[in-house]
Amino acid sequence: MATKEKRGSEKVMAAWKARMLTEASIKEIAASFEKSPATIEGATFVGGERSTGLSLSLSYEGDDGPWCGNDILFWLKWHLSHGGNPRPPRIIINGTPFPDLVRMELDFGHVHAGEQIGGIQELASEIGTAGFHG
Amino acid sequence: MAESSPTGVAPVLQVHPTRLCNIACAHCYSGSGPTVRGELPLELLSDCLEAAAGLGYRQLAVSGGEPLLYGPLPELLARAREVGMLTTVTSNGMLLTPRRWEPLADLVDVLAISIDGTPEEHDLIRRREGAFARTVANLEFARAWGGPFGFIFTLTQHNVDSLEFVVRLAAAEGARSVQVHPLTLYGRAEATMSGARPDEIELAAALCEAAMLAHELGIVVHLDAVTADQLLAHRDLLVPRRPVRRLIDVAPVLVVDADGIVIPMTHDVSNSLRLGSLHEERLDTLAANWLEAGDGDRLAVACEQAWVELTRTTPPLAVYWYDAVAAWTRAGGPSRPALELVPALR
Repeated sequence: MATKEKRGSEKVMAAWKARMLTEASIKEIAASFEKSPATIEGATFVGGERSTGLSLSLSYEGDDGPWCGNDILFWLKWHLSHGGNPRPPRIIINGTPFPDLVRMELDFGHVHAGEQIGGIQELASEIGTAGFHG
Repeated sequence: MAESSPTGVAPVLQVHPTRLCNIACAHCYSGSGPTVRGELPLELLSDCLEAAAGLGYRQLAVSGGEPLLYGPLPELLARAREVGMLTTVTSNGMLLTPRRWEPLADLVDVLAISIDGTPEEHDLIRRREGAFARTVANLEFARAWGGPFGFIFTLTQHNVDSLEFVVRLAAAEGARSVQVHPLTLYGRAEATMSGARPDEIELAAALCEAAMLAHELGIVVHLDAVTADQLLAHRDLLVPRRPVRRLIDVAPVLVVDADGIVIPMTHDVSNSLRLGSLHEERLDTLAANWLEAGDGDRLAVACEQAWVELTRTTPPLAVYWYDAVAAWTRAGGPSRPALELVPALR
């Protein structure tokens, strides 16, 4: 009977990676970014009513730039508690060696790899069009 | 207070008084079904209960077949109470109607109802469409009874992902516990579910799920498996001391099947280690003869062999201990029959 089925543990793991965001986990994100100097430029939920992931577009100006490291640390800890299938943060730094502006996109939970959610990819092309170079 | 056993619970006499069942589940280890006959007389089981109590067994667990189809079940449970045993009844729940339950209500300490996953999975393994719906509909009678009831979930290689559904259902329906029993490949299950026995990864995943769900929902979730750490730390509880002087020290679970055969630990222990038939001798005589013949020591050696083999290198993540011991009694591990090793070890 059904010996070719997947292992139960594989299905548990798949469900863990794709499970819905909980209200509590979203509140944790909100609380953390209230403390952050980052400007939230965009927030996109993935999965509609049964959201599995949240993508945040953030910007940090001037001296606030290094704070993005604190937010990445929170992002890592959040995934330890809530699971998901994290994609590395995408970061654009404008101005070296002293950044004027840091833009970062963070995905929480499971944002499918192929899913186009706008944000920094569009931003990068806009920057490219406008001749905005880091 | 009842004497505890190495398993941490009072020694259990597990009785299968009938093979008659309203359904013929794919995973049934007793080969029961609607057309299967075979039933033990009440007198024989009454004598068995009296002897079992004398041997230190403190709990009667009635399974089947479907116990609710065993006519003299009220008398059997009453007899168990008379000799000081706790009583549990394991049912598929489909026949749990007020008419059947009323005569039993004051005689049962714990009612266990089998739920094997989502409605589709449950019906598939029960081989009866609508089985899940009927069982869940009857839970209202269990709630109305007011006594403690729990679910039993059979863990396979493929269904640990459904444990969450079952535990949440238990919480929603008022059940106090979920017992997770790894599939035993014996009886009908051997033919219909070969390859579905959960391996160490599935057992470990189930332990994690059980702990997480119990914490979240406040339901007792017990899995019949030990972790690698527990295996290493509790050799003294898992391997009985020799010489074995009492049956309960080596067989804290004693099975009486529907043919009256008495089996230590679990159904699939080697035939050579069975105590014998209640149709031939009373249980106390069978037990005395068994110990006298050194079979208790042989089973203890199988426990030791299983423990040594499992811990020789890196232990498995988790193991169903009785299953591991039973495998040793039958085949003796990878190369030699376990029982051939006995003289060298005694």
